Amino acid sequence: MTKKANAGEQVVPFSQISQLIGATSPLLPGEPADAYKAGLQATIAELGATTPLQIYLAEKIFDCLWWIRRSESFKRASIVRAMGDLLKVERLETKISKTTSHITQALLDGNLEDPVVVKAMEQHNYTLEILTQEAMAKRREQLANVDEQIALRVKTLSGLQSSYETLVNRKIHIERLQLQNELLRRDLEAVDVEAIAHDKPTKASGKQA
Amino acid sequence: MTSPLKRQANRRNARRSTGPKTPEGRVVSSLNAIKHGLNLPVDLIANGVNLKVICELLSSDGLDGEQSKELVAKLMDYERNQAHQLAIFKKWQEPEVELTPEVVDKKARERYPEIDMLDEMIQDELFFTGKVSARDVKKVARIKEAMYRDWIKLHNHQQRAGVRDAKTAVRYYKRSSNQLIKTLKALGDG
Repeated sequence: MTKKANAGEQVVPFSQISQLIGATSPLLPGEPADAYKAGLQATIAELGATTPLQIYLAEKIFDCLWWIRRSESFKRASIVRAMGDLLKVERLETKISKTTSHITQALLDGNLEDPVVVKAMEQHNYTLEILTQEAMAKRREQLANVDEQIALRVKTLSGLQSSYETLVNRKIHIERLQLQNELLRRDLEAVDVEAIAHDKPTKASGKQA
Repeated sequence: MTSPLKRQANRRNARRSTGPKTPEGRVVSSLNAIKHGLNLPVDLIANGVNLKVICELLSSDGLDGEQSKELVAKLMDYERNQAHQLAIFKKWQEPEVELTPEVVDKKARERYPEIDMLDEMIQDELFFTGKVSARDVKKVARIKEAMYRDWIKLHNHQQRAGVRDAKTAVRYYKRSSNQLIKTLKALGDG
């Protein structure tokens, strides 16, 4: 299946805990489900998550990474869309015209040599720097919001990572303690067995007494 | 400043106000103040969470029933906020409406059917009498303009509210993620 074919497919959360608590699909319409699934599998494998809670946390860690990536691409798309708006041939067009759509797509692909883009920039007396600056100024509020989102996700990501480590360590500690307890129990049992063996009067010793 | 007499009259009148009377109506109106519900405590039973199964799953991480219950509440709060954030992002993805005269006319007509009625009134007048007075045309144009202006005002207000809602959602998400991390760390250290 190609990326485009499965773009926007609703992904059921991977971990059992997510499914049980009714978590929604983490993908937005148009996002590649295959890339998400592959990334999630890789994250789980890399972190070595085995228990349900570890898998859930690995999923959330990957969700944060996905959000950061999403926000970055959203920022780029937002600026490009604003650039496309500034280069509109007709300022009052109600529907997106073919030219505007072509310009936006060319800017999104980074094709700045496109003759239509060059012509539109000449028409509006824009250089690339000024166009970018104006587009960013136009979307300032939205960009600030997205930046805030990114910062928040980074913070959450680091928090989840450290809690994951704490939980993994906790499991290791528990296992170590259980092993130590087992060892102690076995030692004690071994001591008991020996003590009982010593206490048992032998037939020979009884006879002697 | 409101005089004491006026205040008393206001209170008397307020008592006469026709609020919801039926139990169903009261339930509906009790939810009027809820905007996003992110501040409500998570109700595990109402959400139909199978706690027993989750507790069994979490027991492999060495968590007992109480710890599992506490963690599930935090997880659900986090998921709720995550879903809200996703919904906001979905809204952002929708193409922005540029306020051209055509767009304003179309949207205002959707909100105020009176605009169509006014147009029909002028057309009827023209059809039956063959002429429309300039005074009527001006009057209709004035009313329509007021409605267009009203719609633009409402649209701008909604835009501002959208930004405000996004900021609120970020604050709630921050709170829920902090609480989740705190709970996880406490469980890990405990």
